[in-house]
Amino acid sequence: MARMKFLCDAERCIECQACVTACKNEHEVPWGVNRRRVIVMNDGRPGEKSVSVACMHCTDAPCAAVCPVDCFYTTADGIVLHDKDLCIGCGYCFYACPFGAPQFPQQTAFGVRGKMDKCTFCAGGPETAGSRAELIKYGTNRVAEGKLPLCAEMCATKALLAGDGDIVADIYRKRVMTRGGRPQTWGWQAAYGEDA
Amino acid sequence: MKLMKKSAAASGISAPGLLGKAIGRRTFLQGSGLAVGGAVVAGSLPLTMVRKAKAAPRVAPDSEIQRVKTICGHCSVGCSTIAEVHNGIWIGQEPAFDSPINLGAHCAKGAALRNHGHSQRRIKYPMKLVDGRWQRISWEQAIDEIGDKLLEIREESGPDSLWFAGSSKANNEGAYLQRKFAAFWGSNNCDHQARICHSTTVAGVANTWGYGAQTNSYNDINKSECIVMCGSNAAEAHPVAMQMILRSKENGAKLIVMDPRFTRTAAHADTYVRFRSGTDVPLLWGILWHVFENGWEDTEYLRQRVFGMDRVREEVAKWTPDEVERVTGVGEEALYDVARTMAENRPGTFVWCMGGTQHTIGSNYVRAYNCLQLALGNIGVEGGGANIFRGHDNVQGATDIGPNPDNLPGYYPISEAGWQHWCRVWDVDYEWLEQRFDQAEYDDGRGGTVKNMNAGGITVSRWIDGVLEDSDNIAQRDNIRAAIFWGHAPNSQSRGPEMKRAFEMLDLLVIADPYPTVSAVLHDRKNNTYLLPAATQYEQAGSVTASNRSIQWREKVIDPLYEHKSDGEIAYRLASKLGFADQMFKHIEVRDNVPVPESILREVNRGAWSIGYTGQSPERLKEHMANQRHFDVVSLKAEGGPLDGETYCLPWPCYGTPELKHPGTHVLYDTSKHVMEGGGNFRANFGTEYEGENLLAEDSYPVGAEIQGGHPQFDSELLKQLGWWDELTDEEKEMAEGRAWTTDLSGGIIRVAMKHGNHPFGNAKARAYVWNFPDPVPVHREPLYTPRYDLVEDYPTYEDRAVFYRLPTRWESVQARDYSREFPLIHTSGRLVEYEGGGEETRSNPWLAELKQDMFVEINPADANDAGVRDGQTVWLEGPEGGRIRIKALVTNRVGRGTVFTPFHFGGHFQGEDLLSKYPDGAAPYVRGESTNTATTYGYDAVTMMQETKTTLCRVIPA
Amino acid sequence: MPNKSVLALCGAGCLFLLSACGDVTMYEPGVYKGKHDETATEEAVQQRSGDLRERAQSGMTDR
Repeated sequence: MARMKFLCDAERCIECQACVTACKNEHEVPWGVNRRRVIVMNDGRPGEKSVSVACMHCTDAPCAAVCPVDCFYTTADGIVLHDKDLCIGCGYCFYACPFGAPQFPQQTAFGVRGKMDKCTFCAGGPETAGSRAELIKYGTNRVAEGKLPLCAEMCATKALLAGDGDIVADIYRKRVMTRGGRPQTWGWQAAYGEDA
Repeated sequence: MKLMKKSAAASGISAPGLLGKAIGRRTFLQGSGLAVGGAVVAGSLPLTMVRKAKAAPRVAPDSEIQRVKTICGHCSVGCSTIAEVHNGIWIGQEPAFDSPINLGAHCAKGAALRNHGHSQRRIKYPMKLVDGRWQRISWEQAIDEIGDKLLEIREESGPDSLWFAGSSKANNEGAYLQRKFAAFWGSNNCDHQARICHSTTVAGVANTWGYGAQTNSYNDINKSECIVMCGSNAAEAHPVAMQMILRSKENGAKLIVMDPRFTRTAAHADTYVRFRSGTDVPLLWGILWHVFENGWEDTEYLRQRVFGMDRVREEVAKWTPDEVERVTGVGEEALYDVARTMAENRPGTFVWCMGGTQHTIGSNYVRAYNCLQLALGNIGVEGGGANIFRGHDNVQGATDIGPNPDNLPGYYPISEAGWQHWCRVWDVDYEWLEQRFDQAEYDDGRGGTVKNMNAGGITVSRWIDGVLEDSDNIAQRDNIRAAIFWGHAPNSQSRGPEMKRAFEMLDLLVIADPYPTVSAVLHDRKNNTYLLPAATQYEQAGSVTASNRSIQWREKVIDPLYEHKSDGEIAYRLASKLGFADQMFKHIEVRDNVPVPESILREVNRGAWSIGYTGQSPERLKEHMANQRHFDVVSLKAEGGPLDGETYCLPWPCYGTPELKHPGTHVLYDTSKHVMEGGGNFRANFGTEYEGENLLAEDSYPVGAEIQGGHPQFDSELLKQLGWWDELTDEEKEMAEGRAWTTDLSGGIIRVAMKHGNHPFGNAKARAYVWNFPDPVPVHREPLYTPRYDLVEDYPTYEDRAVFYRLPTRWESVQARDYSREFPLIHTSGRLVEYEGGGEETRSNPWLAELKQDMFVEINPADANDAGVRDGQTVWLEGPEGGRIRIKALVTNRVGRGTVFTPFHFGGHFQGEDLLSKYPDGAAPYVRGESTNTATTYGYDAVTMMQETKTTLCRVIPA
Repeated sequence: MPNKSVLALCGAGCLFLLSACGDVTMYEPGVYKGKHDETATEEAVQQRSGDLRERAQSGMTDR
């Protein structure tokens, strides 16, 4: 069974924020809520690297583990979603998430999006796919239409990959091989030391 | 832990029914983001008069959604996108994976395009200032009043008293009509963004080898072994180009970035060279010094295809590593490394952008880049080239056939011959057109006199001086008294405080734009100021020329919102009021006041022979757009299918008539292909010899050429000499007799020349020595405002000139004073990825505006400490001419010590004051800030009048 | 003892009432309590996996 994954290739990411605005565009995410953002390390110095981060759709999702009302569920292809009708907006998932993915709207604490909001892998939520209710609470459901998250589909350099983990890994592996074995992979040096 | 779904009982609850049946995916997306960012204004308008930006929520079964392929309206990469439209509303945006240019990719701006389809922060209907307040008026009233005023000013001060900025954001058809409009009004006083973008590039490369354009393409970089980027921050300015650059790098190409600022592009480089802003010529000569020293130049290539490199060699010899380091700050080892990398990794491409062009000697920089590439034999080869990344989406097209003050569409000169040619194409009487112009003669700046019809008009960089300068000093009848900003942001031009005064002195100011722009608010005008709502690129169809010269067809996504009108319609309505519409639109189809874009393009096809804008009929372009998938990503060539062998969207030159089926030219001057397959050679545009030296190519010619060597441009005489004349049809003969290939309206001369494998524009050498430039060999001259005043004596700037593009222009009198003590920091400027140009459009898009909410200055930690400034603190940045801006400090190592950087997209604040109250209600952009150009200074290129916005001085103090 | 019979009766009554509620569950921590999502099921996933695979091939690769 396929398992949906994001992968951001830091060698290709250029901090252009297309993923961020594509998400806003697709789901009309309000000002102040960022389901996806670009994180920069060593900003303005040699070694500058960036990655685009959103909900990583963990297999054993910490957000779900701590949720006091158990509003999280995982689709059969590994997308972590939640039911906003159940969510109480407590923010405990925000504590638990290693990526800072959960977002809480600034203005309307208990409005339409007053509950926790996060990346849905463009797979909507527990409302009828394509319904108005789903759109307003969760955004569009591209996955149900056979499309992948728009952030990855529009990535300027195809740094951000999304899809079945096997295919994503294939694409990335081919790229790393093409790079001629140079250890350009982000995190490589941290893992194996400077000389590796 | 396994998460279980709750069982059947719950599923019953969510069964469809409560919400009605499942509806197609896109219920109209309500502008929740908009409501947060600011007031929603549409509600306050009388709705019957206004096409609303937003319709009620709707149900859209998939089958009713129209998918329209269009082209992004931001930079010149030319990304396709698919707009989903339902009931005239742009409801979704999908990636166009089929486009060989972007493969579906976008940057932040491209991924946010849909907002333009329901933006409420636009001018919504024509308005005028009445005693300092914006008042709504009708289109009829606006055109009437503007027209009457223009005619009155014309009567009093002549046609040159109107100056207008056209637009590099208009489609080719709109830009062409803007140029034609100026011509029929009787003036050359029109210009557009290219002047302050790549004018020095266009002049530099055209004078070196033929055409003023990117020689290769973004895609072709995949074939490069070495990529050098100098003054180009593609990661922010052309993000999707980075897709090709990084792919090439993955395949082993070396990426070298040379820039005063450690840009996001530099972050991906193998080698980064930081140098002092304003010293590109020494930097390049420093590299070339090592090339010559080690014998890395391509001697055979130079013998066959390059003129005057020996003269360059003499200048380069002066730039020893020590002297280069003294001037640029870059040591010998770094430049040796660059030179060796380039020499060992051929073909290599050289990319430059505004960092290389916006200087008082920008045209010298450009030619220094050219000389290096020529020495290495990198021009006219796949994977090599001068990959000049243009700025706006259609700045290449607007340069080619748009509102330029110093040439006519297709770069035909404004001499009588050029006008005669276009008069034949337009089918108007030359004498009639000539009478439209001022008949007096004025100083031409070279000791003679000239009529204004044949004198370059006032440029966009200097319009303010056209207003402010004493009229006795201007080489036209009177000052500029009326200005039209037709798709142009003023905050991208230098000298803000003087611009404010110029705006205030105008008798008439008209702004035609989707957004109010800074032109509407910078000044304190009370009356005689009009806003005309012009449609965006997504609200009008037309062709658009990407940087690589591919001409893509941009479909109209939606009808113009509110009361906006297309550029064509505005031109038509104004021309009608001014009384020359019948002549101007003689052969252009007009339906309901809207000129038909296909019909306009066909007129261009009939006239722009010189640059091969003739083979790209609307039908061919549309067929290319429909078959995008067939084109190879690296070669841009169609493999199989109906367009087999053609290059994507027929990059100009696509010679001859559409029927000739020229495939377009992917790589310019490439002798490895037949001319009918896009091959070529350098252009013979400067005669056949210079002071006894041969200028024609030697033993170098495109594959299959019958004349195996250099030859001049083709004309009827040459055809006869060659015995090829009788290959023309009788009809062609009649039109070609006495004509050159550029003025033969039958296209016969081109057809026959190319049939014999020869290039119609001749076959010559590229010129490393450009004798018609102020510096025939590029030399270094210190910036007017230099931090190294000690070098001025060795490297002084030019003498002042009394008449240059009609205006007195200063160089040495500015440089005469040393400002470097009071203003110790170099102030340079550039782009951010989120915004574009003056930024009005992008700062009005909440998805983008949220990402950068403050204008800022990047300052090195050492300089920040010297100035007593902390990260995030509000500071004043003050320029030596008195302009000052109140902005945030961003303390970072991205800039070196002694240099600060500001982005130029902000506007809406002026010297500490927020101009919000001056915008029409609800039309102010979400994010406003100081314009960097409030603090920039005087300084212009001696060939093109390019402004200096990359190297000036400033000081930063806590606010 | 009237109390005992009342209690027994109550007990029987409660048991009777409870027997009518077939799906009473104890609180299970960690188990999703929200609405069912049709598109999360194995069936739905299997249906779309081919399309998603094709989409990734056309959109994520360098072509």
